[in-house]
Parts: sequence; C-alpha cells; structure tokens
Amino acid sequence: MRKLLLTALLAGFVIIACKKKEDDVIDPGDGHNHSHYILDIPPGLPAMPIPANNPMTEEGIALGRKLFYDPILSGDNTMACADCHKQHFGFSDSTIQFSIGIDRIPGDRNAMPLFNLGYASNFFWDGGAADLESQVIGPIQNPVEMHEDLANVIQELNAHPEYPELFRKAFGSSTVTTPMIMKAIAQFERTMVSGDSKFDRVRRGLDSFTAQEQRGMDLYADPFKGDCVHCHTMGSTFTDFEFRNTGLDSIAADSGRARITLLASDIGKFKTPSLRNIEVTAPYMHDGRFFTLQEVMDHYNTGFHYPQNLDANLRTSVKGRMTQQDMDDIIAFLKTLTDYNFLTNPAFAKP
Amino acid sequence: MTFIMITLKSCFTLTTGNLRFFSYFSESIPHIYESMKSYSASAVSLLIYAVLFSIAFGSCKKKNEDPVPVNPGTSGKLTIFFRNLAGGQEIQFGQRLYTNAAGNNYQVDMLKYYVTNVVLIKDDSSEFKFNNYDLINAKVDSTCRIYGNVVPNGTYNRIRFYLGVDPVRNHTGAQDGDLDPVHGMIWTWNTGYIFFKHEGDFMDSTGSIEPLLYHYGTDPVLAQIELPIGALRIDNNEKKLYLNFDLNSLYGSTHTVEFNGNNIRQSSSVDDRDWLTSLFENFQNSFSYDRSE
Repeated sequence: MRKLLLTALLAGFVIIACKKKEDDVIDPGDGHNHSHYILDIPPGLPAMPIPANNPMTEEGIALGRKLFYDPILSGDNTMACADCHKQHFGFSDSTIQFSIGIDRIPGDRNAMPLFNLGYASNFFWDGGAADLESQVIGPIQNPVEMHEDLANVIQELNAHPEYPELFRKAFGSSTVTTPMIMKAIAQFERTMVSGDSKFDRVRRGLDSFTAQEQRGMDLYADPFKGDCVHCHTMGSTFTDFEFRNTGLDSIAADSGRARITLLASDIGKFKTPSLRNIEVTAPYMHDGRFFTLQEVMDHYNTGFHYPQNLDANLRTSVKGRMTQQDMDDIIAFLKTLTDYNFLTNPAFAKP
Repeated sequence: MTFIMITLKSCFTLTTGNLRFFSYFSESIPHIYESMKSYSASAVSLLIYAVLFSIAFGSCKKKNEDPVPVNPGTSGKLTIFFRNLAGGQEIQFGQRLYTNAAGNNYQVDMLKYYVTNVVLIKDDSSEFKFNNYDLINAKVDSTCRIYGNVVPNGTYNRIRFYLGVDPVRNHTGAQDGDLDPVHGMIWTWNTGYIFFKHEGDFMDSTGSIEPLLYHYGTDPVLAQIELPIGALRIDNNEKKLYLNFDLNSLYGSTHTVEFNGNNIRQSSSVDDRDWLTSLFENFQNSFSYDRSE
C-alpha cells in the first residue's frame, strides 16, 4: 500500500514537473510569483489572441504602463508615448494634425488612437509593424518622434534605480533587453480594451437609442446611403483591418501601404481605422486633414477623388447620395460609440 | 517513507524555476537512495523509482537539449569565416579606394549583412543544417565568422545559406541575439530585417561626393546562396572554411548597378524594386569559396 502511494506520488511529480514547463516563459525561477493576467473582454468583443511568447502578467503590464508614461524612452528624456497618445482622446493626440517630436519636427501622419489593439495583426497607418511588440520600437526610434537610440535607452534603463528590479519581476532577468521593453509595452496595450459605449449597452439591452441614433445606425449600414459598414464592420471592432484607398487625392501624396508591400496597387491605401471613440479622436484620416465628422461625411458623400487604386466600394458610390439630415443622423450614431469608461479608466492612466 | 516524501516535496516547493528544480532534484538523488535502502529496500520498488525518475528526466530534459549534440567519434567542428572584399581587396573603411563596374568611385563606412540557415550538403544530397542567425559586421572581425558548429563527420561539397532572414523570423522584432533590434538591422517603419546594409559615399558624375545608403531587404528578395566548397572533410577534427564576399560582384556581376541617381535605397518604395531585383540576382555571384583548412 505504502509502495503504491509512493508510486502514485512520484507519478504525480512527474506530471507536475513536466506541466510546469508550459509556464516557463513567465516563471523565471527568481522566487517571485508571476500573476497571470486574465483580460476582461466585454460582451460583443471576441476573445483576444495573446502571443505564446508574451503571456500577460500583472508585473509585465505594470512595467509596460510605467514605460508608456516615462519620457526615458525618448532621445532627450522629454517625451513619453503618452505625450502623443492621450487617454481622454482615445489615446490619440488631442486635436493636433501632426504630432511634434522631440526635435520640434512634425510627423507626416496623424497619431493613431490606441485601443483593442490585440485584435489587429499589423500596426501603423500602413500596417508596417507586423506585431504589437514590434510596433513599440518604431516611434521610439523615429527621428520625427521620440528619436532615441535603442542601445542608449537600454543603457539608461539598466542604470536606473527602479527599472532593473521591475524587469526582473516581469521577465526574470534584471538585465534589460530590447525584446523585454517591446513585450512589456505590448502587454499594457493589450489591456486597453474598449467595448462599453452606449452602442454596446444598447446591444446588451441596458440602454436605448434615440430616434435619430437609430436612423443613423440604419443609414450607416444602408449600401445606398452611408455605406460605412463595408469597411467599418458593424459592432465588435468596427473595422475590417483592411487597407483601402478612399480617394482623398487624385494622386496620393503618401504612398501608404505601398511603402511596405512595394506594390503599385497599394499606393495610397491606408488601414481602415476603428470607429469606436471616433468622437474624441479628431482630426481624421491618415494625415488628419479633416477636423470634424461633418467634413468626413462630406468627403464620402461628394468629396472623394478617383485615383487608380480607389476602393471598389467607393468607385460604385453615387455622389450626393446622402442628405444633410442623413449625415447628421449618422454622426449622432457615431457618437454612441464613445466609451467614457475607457476614456477615464484609472487602470490606463499615468501610474 | 515519509522522509522521502518530505525530501521530494521540499525539492519541489523550494524551487520555482525548472533549471533549479533539476539541480536540486539530482543533488538529492543519492540522499533518497540511502533513505530508500534503510526504509524499504525491495528491488522492485527501486526499479519502479528508477523508471519513474528516468521518465521525469527524459520527458522534461528533452526541451533543454542542445539541438546539435556532440558525439565523440562521429562529429567535428566547423567555423566559417567571411572575408569582405571590394575588387578582390580586403575592405578598408572610410577610404574611397574602390570602383564599381559602372565606374563609380566609392567608399565603405559600414557593411553589415545577415547569414542565416547555413546548410552543408554532401555529394549524395544529404544535408546538415545549422539553424543559425548571424549578423556579419565587416568592421568587427569577431562577427565575421560563424563559430564552431558541431558537424557530423563526412565530406561536404556544397554550402547553402540565406543572405537575410527567413519569413518565419522576419516578422517580429521581439527576438534576442543577432536578431535583437538593438543592432539597428530592423526597419523602424516596417517589421522586417535589413538583410544587407552598405553605407558610405561615392563620387557622382559631376565630381561631387554624395552619400551612398543601401538598405536591402523584404521577403521577396531573400537571397539563397549555394556554393561549391571543394571537398570539406569533417573527421573528428576542427575545420575552418573561408568564404569571400565581394562588393564589386554585388554591384557588377549579372547587373551593373549605377550609383548616380540610385544612391539612396531603403526597400521602402515601389521605385526600389528594380534595384532590389538587381542586387538579389547579383548576390548569387557575390560569394565564393576561398579555402578550407
């Protein structure tokens, strides 16, 4: 009997010993407990895929949040990620068309809002960053943004009184490396989930649309009116994650997606942005050329050009198909996509 | 018996890291064995424990195994050296000493490239793979070699490798070692490695000195190079294989690359495609076998 018990116990150890292997990535063997972080996804949004090489932990997220708000990541230690990605504006840069970098040089694309990033498979307006981790090092190094050298920031973080210990807690090693910085910020960014707007509450039966908002939603989906829904899919993320040329110019000043694919057929194509929180993320379009939602509606109603790569949905759209009332109604609907709880959630604020 | 359990249990609870777990575990084996002898010494139970231990070690240890096991008597070591040349001469940095096929007088301030996925091929087409990701920085001798890989004994006639990073590794920057973005070999606007980088300057057609900045990459131009390497015999020994890379071949073998009006290329525009294709095809003729010893 005792033999049996011991055998069973040993067998149990074998299983436990091998099972622990799966947790290697977040179990650095430093005597610290790493707390798995389970994302709280609101109903209406899908489960978020988390990359196997960067599981979410409380420690990683806290570190990513600290880094996101810390100007140490910029060349002269004056500018944090958060300086151009402000929570109250859906983590976009207030009402500025082109954000100004540390060298007082403006960029050439509008700072993107940050939320529901874990659902996207590429980042930046042209999709140049192939994963969220890799996106992180773009703005840090861009001469017109934070203009920092990676070797320099790693040296600074390693010499910092607090960071080595925070990195050790998150990743098991107090020697800071680039991939750790990328992973920590990506973990924090994946927690920025927005899915609690009036639209979502109506969907859950907790609220109701006004008559105008309801008309706006119908027009949004109407292929002969707003026809927004082809690209900005209704519900969930409000984007199809595709790249499209929306006819902003007859000859695109910015090659867009073609900079990444080197394909002429991608010239002037940009990522379909989510319309969640659109009320607070002005100005609009990749170059922030429109400051109001009315200007955006005017563009899609009458203003678009016919470049070679114009999206098929627009190519077949009739100009002047919407009345002013239609456009007012759609804008009223779009404003139901503002998620005030997200915009004020203290978990995303400066630590 | 209880003592054994406590000993074992403490091994597990004391440790959180698997490596430490194994070291504690193995240190305590003689101790457990002694305890077992005094408490219950049946040969059967010993056998059961032995089997269980071996399962525990066998099943868990696999993941930590060196992918290229050293087998005395069946393998040797090979270090591959890359010599970086321009017109057959070792590159001297910062001196406008070289002339390409188009007649452009140029200099090199920086020359870096990735050599990955090295494969040695025998006459019978069987292959041995290195699974390596090495960044060659022509300025730093210690990076211009792929160190002492364990290679099974045999005679190898050809070598194959990528000039660049394969698509499996080319679409995330969150990687360590030579793929760490800190080396500046990944674009900031496009997640992909710069397979090859030549920075310097050249004298343009009007006689003025202009910058030369070539950053080559993207999946479609991942160049696969295959070369004869004589008959490289690995026989329980340490061998050195010397390969040459020549910039003048890159700029003037199949295609003549003209620097005038073509001196800033970063693989980021539809207009860069002809340049990319020229270099892609020229890379095939830019490496050559020098010798082995």
